[in-house]
Amino acid sequence: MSLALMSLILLGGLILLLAIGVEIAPAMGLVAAFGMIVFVGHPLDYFARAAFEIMNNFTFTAIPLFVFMGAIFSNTGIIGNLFRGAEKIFGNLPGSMASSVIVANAIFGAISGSSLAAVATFGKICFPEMEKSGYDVKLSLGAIAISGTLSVLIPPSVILIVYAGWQDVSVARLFAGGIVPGIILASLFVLTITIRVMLNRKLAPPVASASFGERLTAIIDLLPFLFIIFLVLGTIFSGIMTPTESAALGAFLSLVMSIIYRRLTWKDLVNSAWTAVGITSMIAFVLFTARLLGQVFQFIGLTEAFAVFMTNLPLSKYAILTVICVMYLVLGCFFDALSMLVLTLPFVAPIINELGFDKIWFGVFYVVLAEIGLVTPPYGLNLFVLNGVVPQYEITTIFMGTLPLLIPTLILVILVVLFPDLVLWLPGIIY
Amino acid sequence: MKRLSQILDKAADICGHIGSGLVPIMVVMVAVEVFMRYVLKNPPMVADEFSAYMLVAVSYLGLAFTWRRGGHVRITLLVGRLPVKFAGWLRLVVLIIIFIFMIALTHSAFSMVVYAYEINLRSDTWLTFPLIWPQLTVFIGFLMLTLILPTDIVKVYRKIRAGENVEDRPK
Repeated sequence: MSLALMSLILLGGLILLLAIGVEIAPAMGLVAAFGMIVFVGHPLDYFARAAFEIMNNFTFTAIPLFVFMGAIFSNTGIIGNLFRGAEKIFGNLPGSMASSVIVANAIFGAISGSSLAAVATFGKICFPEMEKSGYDVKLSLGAIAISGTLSVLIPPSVILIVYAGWQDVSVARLFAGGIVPGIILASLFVLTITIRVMLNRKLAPPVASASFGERLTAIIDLLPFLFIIFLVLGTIFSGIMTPTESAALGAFLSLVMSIIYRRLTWKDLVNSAWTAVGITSMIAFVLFTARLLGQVFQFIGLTEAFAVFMTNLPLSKYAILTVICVMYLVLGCFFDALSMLVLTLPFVAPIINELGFDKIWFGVFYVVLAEIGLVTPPYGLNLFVLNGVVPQYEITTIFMGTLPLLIPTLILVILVVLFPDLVLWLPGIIY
Repeated sequence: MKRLSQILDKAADICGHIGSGLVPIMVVMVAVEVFMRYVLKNPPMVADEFSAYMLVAVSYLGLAFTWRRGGHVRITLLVGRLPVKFAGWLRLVVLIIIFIFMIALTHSAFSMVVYAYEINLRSDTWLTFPLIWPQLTVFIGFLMLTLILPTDIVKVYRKIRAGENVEDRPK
């Protein structure tokens, strides 16, 4: 059977299964099973071994631990202190509450690797306060939805851990690569909000500046969070601990902190562990079926043929990169970041290698692109999660609020392409 | 049927709870390893291996539990726009397809466990830990998901008969 026909059957089958609503992991598994039996002639007995082997991996152990750590902070409501602390520090800026959501989320991003947890938690804590203070609904919801995306870029990031395991690159270097773009993006979000409020004063109430004493207290309130971030990331970057060990340390400290704040209940602890199990199970199912599907694509020669086709196009490397960008922006409207990554990586990784782009750079670049997918309909997960928190507002209202804040993300995409050192500088210094 | 469904749901919950119980244990185990390495200078050197086995257990014991909570991602862009009855029948077909796939996966996991038992398969680390135990969690996880799928199929069928929207997932 020709490669074209085999590819058509496999890709067509996958699209069909996804379209009729089969869960992404079983859809990939079904196509992989079909390909394995019909095209590869491999017995299905191999499937369970692949499932075991892919998760029997110390690097991936960091995933439930970082998710657990973030869930402890969000379930106990401790991160409300982040928002209130940032609000006092940035109180002089026009639209300070919206900017505080961004800053608080950036800090939370350095604690948690999950965008959805960030959106759900900040939606619950911040939106009522912003609404009560007279902030424009779209501005408030937009700031909450978009700032959640910082959690996937600023380390620790679950997606970056998966990418590292998949591409066999250093998690620590990837984490270091995400820091500068994360800070730039958070700054661009704050700048955009400030400019918008300055141009249209109706978007936010007049600023109520905090006294020096209040700001000092706010900084002191933020110190425990900064200490944990410093310890978790510091031990990774200094090479003292592996990301998994740092994740365990961070999770342990989050428990200690929530006990000190007297916020930890048995229910919070159980819910946090459930969150970790839910996300880890979902990731495991997607990872192992995607790995098998990738192997089928590789075996029939599709990935190699696609890479050869793309690199032989009469286009410059940046034009090909633009094609890949557009592909991710379109796919991001339909897929979550993880599924999109593992589905496309077997095809994209050889092209990226062939074109000479750095693997660390591409990992961070992918995450920036995937962030856009988190807030674009019809499948922007952050929009759905926030809609679940504030069901009185339509998804379109939330999306209209995030739309102006997509401009900074697109600016970052361009900056990262023009200046790769924004990503590679810090890993280069540390390692 | 309702009683059976409740028992299976309970079993899926128990598996999920076992998985969630392992998460804090992983935290403590790795934290203790770090403490013993840097403070007592005497690391037990088991955390890497055991935490990876626990990850396997957390991942697969939680499969059915996560399924019950709608945690496995799917695209509903098209099916959400279909007429309720047609979407119901389509979901029924989808669940049957997934059920068949899960039977194959469970069989594959069973073969893996039997093989590990027969040859007394052990890890190639200094612990030489019997791999049947972590592999058993893969089998149990797949089996649980396989077992709860027929109850979902029945629930969806009943909803179709009652003219209800099946996209309100069975809890």
